[in-house]
Amino acid sequence: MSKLNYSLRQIRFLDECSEGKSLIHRINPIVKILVTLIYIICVVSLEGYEVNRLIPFFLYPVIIISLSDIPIAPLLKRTVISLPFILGIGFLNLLIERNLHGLLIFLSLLIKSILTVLSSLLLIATTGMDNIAKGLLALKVPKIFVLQLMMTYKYILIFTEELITSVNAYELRSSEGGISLKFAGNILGRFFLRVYDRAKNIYNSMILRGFNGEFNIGKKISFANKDIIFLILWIIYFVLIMFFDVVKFFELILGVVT
Amino acid sequence: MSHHMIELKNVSFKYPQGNEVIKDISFRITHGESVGLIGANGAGKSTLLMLLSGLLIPTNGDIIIGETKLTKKTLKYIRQRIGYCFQNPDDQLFMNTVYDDVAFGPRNYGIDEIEIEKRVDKALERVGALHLKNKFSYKLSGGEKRMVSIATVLSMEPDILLMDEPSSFLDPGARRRLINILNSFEHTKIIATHDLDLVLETCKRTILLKNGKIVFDGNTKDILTDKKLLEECGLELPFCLQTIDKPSLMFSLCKSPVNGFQKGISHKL
Ligand SMILES: Nc1ncnc2c1ncn2[C@@H]1O[C@H](COP(=O)(O)OP(=O)(O)OP(=O)(O)O)[C@@H](O)[C@H]1O
Ligand SMILES: [Mg+2]
Repeated sequence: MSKLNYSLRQIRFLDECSEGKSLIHRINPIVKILVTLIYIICVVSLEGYEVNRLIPFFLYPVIIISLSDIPIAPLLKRTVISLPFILGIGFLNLLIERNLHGLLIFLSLLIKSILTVLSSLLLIATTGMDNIAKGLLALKVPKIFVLQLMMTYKYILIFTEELITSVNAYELRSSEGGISLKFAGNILGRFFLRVYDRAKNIYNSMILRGFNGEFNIGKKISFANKDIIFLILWIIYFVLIMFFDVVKFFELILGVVT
Repeated sequence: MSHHMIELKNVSFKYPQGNEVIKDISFRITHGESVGLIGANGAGKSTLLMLLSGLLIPTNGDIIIGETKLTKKTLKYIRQRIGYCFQNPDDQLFMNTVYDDVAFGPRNYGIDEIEIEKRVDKALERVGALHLKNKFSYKLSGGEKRMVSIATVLSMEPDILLMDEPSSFLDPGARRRLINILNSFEHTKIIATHDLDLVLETCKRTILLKNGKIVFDGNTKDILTDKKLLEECGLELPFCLQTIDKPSLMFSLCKSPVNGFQKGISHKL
């Protein structure tokens, strides 16, 4: 029970981070979405075996984390949670290609997934889902997709809380720890009914307050100089490390010097 | 003024695959009236409020708000003027911070942010929750959530206020503040509650529901002193009327709650 309650406190971690006031938090959400998108495209489109060329991409999360005061440990924990799926796929490939090439592909897959997941988490943690929605709408993403995304995000949080309530209520009245299989179906059934009710009520209370699919989060999206600079600097950096093998370049210089 | 009037004509409602929960109800509430809606658990209070806000559509009969009949077409227009406070405050808080939750309604009506900030402050001030403005909504206590959820409705400055169990979760101080808010709200309001003392202090008129039917509709004073009828409907006398034998005599004392209560006790002694 305590473990579940602990995860309840953890689940809003990204939301809580997003209320920060750091330099990165104050950057225009549109800019942050664009930079993240370009970053992910660059990372993903590198060739499978070019592991060393992925190294300069670590600079981006490192800089964002250090400028935005987001605690590293919980962030990394969330990144790691997504890894088993990727590892599974990479492992299958390793079975087929049992040589150095296969190993390199496995490694690069691992690094790529860490980088892309990390950068998306950083986007949410420094921007907040509401701002992201506003940014996506400004980028002309169809309203229906944005709405889906927002509702899914909000509901996942609420569902988790409901699940924890259900399980707590059960465990307080059961003698042994854990949920016996006999009742699991029962609890799950009740959980779905409750979740359905909650979702309906929340949607109702949204439309009663004039909600029509538009996300009005107040703060106007405005471009300042720092936003433009942020965007341009990162694009230059990404282009640079995409098209030049920076690591090799440094190796060459080091070679010349020694 | 008739534009804050509510009229029900032979309204019935039945949940899909359920039996009839609201049975042929008719009443008329004029502008500025405040009405208490009482009845045992499952009497149909929440259902009736949901019908009035257009969340449910009656299976029979008409609902008229102002001069407009409630239909799918007029729903949007009518809802703008209704403030509905849910029985469970959790349903009303779905944004990150208290500020965003209270600002959610006004923002949807395209009010500019400076005005919104004023409204949010005013609404939170009225419920005595200004200090919670920048807190995370999901980290509030039950009573704090209740006060903030009332503020989310007040910030929309509605013409008609529908409240479902507004005094649940509240400590005595917050409850007193709620009573003052309700009494200072000059428009039409309907309050569904089990808190009969709250009804006594805020509503001149009371409607008593039993199994989806109106058993009594009239002066609050008459119904809340009618021990027999109340008990038949699964309720009992308001707390402040319970200490003496002749409840109707006590009614005037109860109107000024603190004094009335003390006098009531000394009278008994
Ligand atoms: N979604 C639903 N589907 C079917 N029946 C429902 C539904 N919601 C409520 N009911 C039934 O309708 C009846 C009236 O419910 P309602 O919630 O209006 O009661 P209430 O007077 O608000 O009670 P309480 O004081 O407990 O809040 C109850 O008998 C309930 O079982
Ligand atoms: Mg109810």
